[in-house]
Amino acid sequence: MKNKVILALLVIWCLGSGAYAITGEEIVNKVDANMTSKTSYSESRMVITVDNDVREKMMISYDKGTDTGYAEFLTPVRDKGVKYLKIKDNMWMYLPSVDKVIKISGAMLRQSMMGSDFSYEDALESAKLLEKYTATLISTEVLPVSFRTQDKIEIKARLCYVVDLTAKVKDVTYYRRVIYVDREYFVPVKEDLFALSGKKLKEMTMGEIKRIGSRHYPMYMTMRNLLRANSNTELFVTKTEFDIPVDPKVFTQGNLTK
Amino acid sequence: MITSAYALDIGGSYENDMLALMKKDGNNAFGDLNCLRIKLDWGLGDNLTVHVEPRYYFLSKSQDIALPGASELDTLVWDRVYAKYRTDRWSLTAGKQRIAWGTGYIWNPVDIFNPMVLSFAVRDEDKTNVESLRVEIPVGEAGGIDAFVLTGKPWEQTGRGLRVKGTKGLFDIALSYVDQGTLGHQIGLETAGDIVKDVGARGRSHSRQGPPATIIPRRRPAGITRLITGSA
Repeated sequence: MKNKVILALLVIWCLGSGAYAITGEEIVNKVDANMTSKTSYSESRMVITVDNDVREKMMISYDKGTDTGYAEFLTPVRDKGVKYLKIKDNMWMYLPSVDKVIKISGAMLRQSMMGSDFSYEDALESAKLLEKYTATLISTEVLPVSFRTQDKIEIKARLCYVVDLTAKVKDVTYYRRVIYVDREYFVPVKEDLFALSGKKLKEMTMGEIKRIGSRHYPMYMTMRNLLRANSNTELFVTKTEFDIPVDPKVFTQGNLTK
Repeated sequence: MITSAYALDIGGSYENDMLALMKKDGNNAFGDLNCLRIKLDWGLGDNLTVHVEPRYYFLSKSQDIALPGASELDTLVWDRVYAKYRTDRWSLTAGKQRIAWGTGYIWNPVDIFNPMVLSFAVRDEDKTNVESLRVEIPVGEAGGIDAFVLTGKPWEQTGRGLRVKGTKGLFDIALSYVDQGTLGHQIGLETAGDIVKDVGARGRSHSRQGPPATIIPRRRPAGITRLITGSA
């Protein structure tokens, strides 16, 4: 009887938070490995909703590693030709109406990017979270997650790791992040972003997870800036390719003014 | 990014501004300003692009009201008409084009054509266009050389400029020289970047030298603007 009680306690302890076979850092590393690639190309549709006003923008983007990227807006006509270039911690915007490249710096980094719930800083942020945050696995939680197989979207109850990221350096916009990561595919499905005061600033969800080659990738993303009333930005990835040859000149300022 | 030979890209916009002038005597007036802008890019092969951008302002009004200062009404204006030849190492633009130097959002003294530009304003497109030859040579990821010569005047009278731009850490730095022919010359320095997290700085400084025979014999206005912002 005594042995059974000990065994039961052991099982409960194993199911508790102290006995995960994986650490928070390992989870973040696995997420990075799944979400980033040497190069990638994407075509996306961004839908920005503020109150009853809905605006739609089409864009293409190229990425190289975690800290180099290029994005170009194709529609609407007003935004056509607006381009962004990110190289490490630098970001530039090209405005075709004035034929001018503008460096995005200082407080402008916190401003809304193209009227969306994303800030320039969100776009600039590299995937190297562990350089700035301490990751701790705090629990597991079952969340509804959508999956895309061919043209069908299916919602499944998925067990997710809940990882707490607390800043270990001062120069971060979000002092704390809580990421929910699909336990099997290491895809982030939800992220809450907090200020130092504990106030939740933004809420991001990801879904329509699709198998692309050896990785699983979210084709749908929403971002809600909780400081903006009735605002929501959805990003639909309509096409994406990984580890494809990309001309290095794409990631230059010369390409912005083309 | 994907181009095909003889690709034609047409875009445009239509803008309408209505106004009403209410008078006590009941003699009210109404006006309707319409602006149609067409943008046409014609890709002739992989290297050559022709850009044409005309606009037309049309004002209809209920009364014959005098509009002092209004120009370009009921007229087709060719805002930009240029051909751009591009290779892997340089590009040459010839024709009526927009040359905008400077890193500021509003005031750019180093930009002799558009010293005051609201970079995010709706009417950005109505800025000065100049007929010139322009060569741009990208250097590295974020640097480059930009040079122009205005056309239509003898060499000794025409304007010409050179700008060299680079990046150091989180700062963009550009040095420029403009020879305005009979109007003197200008040397400019621009910087834009982050000092530390959340604290950005932009600076523009220029020194202008006028010709001895002008009303203001020598002028050396120099200025610098700096924006420091922060948030908790």
